[in-house]
Amino acid sequence: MSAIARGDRRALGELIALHGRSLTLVATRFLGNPEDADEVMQDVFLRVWRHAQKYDPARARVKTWLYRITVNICIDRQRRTSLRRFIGLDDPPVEIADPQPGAADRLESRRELAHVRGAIADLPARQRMALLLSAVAELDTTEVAAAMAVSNGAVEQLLVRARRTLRKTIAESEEMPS
Amino acid sequence: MTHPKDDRDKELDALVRAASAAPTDEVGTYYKVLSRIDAAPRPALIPLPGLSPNLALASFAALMLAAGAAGYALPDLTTQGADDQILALAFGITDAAPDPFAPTVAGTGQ
Repeated sequence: MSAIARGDRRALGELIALHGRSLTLVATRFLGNPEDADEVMQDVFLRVWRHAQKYDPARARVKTWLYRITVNICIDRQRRTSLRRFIGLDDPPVEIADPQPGAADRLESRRELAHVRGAIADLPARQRMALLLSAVAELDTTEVAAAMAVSNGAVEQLLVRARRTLRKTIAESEEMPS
Repeated sequence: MTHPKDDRDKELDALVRAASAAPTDEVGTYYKVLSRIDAAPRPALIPLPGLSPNLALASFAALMLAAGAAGYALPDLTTQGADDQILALAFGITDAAPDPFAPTVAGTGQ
């Protein structure tokens, strides 16, 4: 991070290579839209570039700091998007089909994953973010709490509720004829 | 005190991870960020290299104060003569310089 603060572009590239994929997956699944997530990622690393000198290793790991920035930008973006949809400037997102061609025998598995994606999208924003930070970013409870600026207890509650709702929604979708 | 994930949680998290998997483009992100870094910043209204925003604001405030003070002082200098003449007239002092714009009285009778 100190190299980035000195203006080292290669260090920025290494940081993106190291954390970019995981951050992008969390942002994509939180926002439900890869284009929005792409713009969020640019904002995140632009902010890192401009404020790298403010990073304090005594306060947080780089990974946690990156997720803190990502959470803030995702929440801002979601608020703006919700407002734009409310006043009719934006259309709701259309889930893009998996671009990788799958074999027919994987269809059922893909259908199940589509149900899971839908169930994640239906979770309240804070539950969704806590679950994605825990499951996709593989942060522990303390790191999720730091990234979301809430207590460890609040994270536990969010995760319990998110998992309970997700299990229920998935079970209901499995009972429905496809 | 945090609770460790049980097997059901781990299984569900694995499902969430699988559902979230998608192709990503870190190289593309890197170049997009670089192009935004290189995008020229907006030019300052008065380009003064090395001038911090706080210093620029303080300079602007000082300039406005100086302009305001000058606005009061300069008109006072230009109207001082007229003020003296009006004051002299009020006190009945007649040796003041004749007013070139005063209307003349035609007394020739021709």
